Amino acid sequence: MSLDDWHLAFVSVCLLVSLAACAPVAMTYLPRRIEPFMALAVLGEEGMSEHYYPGDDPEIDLGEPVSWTLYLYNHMGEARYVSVRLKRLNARMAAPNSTSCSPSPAPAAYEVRRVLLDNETWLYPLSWSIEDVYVVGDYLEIEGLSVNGAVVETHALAGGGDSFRIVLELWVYDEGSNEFRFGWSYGDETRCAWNQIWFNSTSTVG
Amino acid sequence: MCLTKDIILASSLFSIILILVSPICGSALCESDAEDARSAVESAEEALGSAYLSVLEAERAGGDVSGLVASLNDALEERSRAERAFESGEYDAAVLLAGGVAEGSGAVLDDAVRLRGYAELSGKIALRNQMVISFEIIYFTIIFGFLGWSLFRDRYLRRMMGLRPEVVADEP
Repeated sequence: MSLDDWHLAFVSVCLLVSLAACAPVAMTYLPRRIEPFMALAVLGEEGMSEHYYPGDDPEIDLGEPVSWTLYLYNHMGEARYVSVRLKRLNARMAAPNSTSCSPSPAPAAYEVRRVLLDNETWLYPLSWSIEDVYVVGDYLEIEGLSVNGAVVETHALAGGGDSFRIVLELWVYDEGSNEFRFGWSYGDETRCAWNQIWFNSTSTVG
Repeated sequence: MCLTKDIILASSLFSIILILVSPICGSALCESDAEDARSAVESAEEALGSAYLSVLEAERAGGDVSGLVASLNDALEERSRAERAFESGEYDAAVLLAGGVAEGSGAVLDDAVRLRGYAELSGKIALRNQMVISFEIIYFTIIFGFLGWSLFRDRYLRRMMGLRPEVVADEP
């Protein structure tokens, strides 16, 4: 190796060491590149994605308790104030729209709020049962639902083989408007999370 | 005799008026209670929102907000109880619980503002220290690099000179 080669090697090593020394300072000014998202899921009785109904029968009787677990995960890079809204719909009522991120127009029968830290997973036990029904011919209206011990009024009619469904929507507190909004922003896009589980309640008729 | 009759008549009339008026007053009072309770629950919700935003700012400044988030979640549970009390018509309890929520949220907000100030200051100090360390590393790299290179070059040249064959003058 000639003296010029050694000179080049020395200068290169010095430059690399200097760059490495600047790296921690430079890192504090670089934006973090993560894709923010939130996850909402409903788990069955044993905290798994199975056994959603008592005896695995989607036919829910009056007063029969159904136990689920709500699963929430925050990967937004910072704490998030969220609200999960439970709505009871029949097959014909509008469900939330994932494309436009618009919620179901039905009123929330139950709501649970929580502030989640970044990277936090939260499990919330959700137990519900049908408390009150109103029967008109072949049609059945669930008028009362007990959710975690709180009896709430609902109004959705189903009949002729139609099913009911429990819809869970994830609403996130919006800093700009100071109110909850269905979904969250990612760049120019809005993203949302919701879930639904179908059940029948015809056996309570008659 | 006549006076006694008048007194009895007046008291009967008063009782009838009282019976007729009391449901109206009662419902008005009840409505007022409900309105107060609703307003207390709404104020508690606003306080929770403000507290959350302060916590978010503290987190963005680099503070550890896990304790504040735990306190906020305690306040949220109390808010749920306040709302349940309101829905079941227990307005006094709802007002009391909502007051607790507002108080708890206020405490979280104050702590978050303090944490934000502390985190911003700590961040500035840490950045300054890091910059000083980086500058020192670069400074010593240049100094020792230059010295090292000078020493290495001298040794290299001496070795190269030592390897060169000796030239002797060719004398006649």
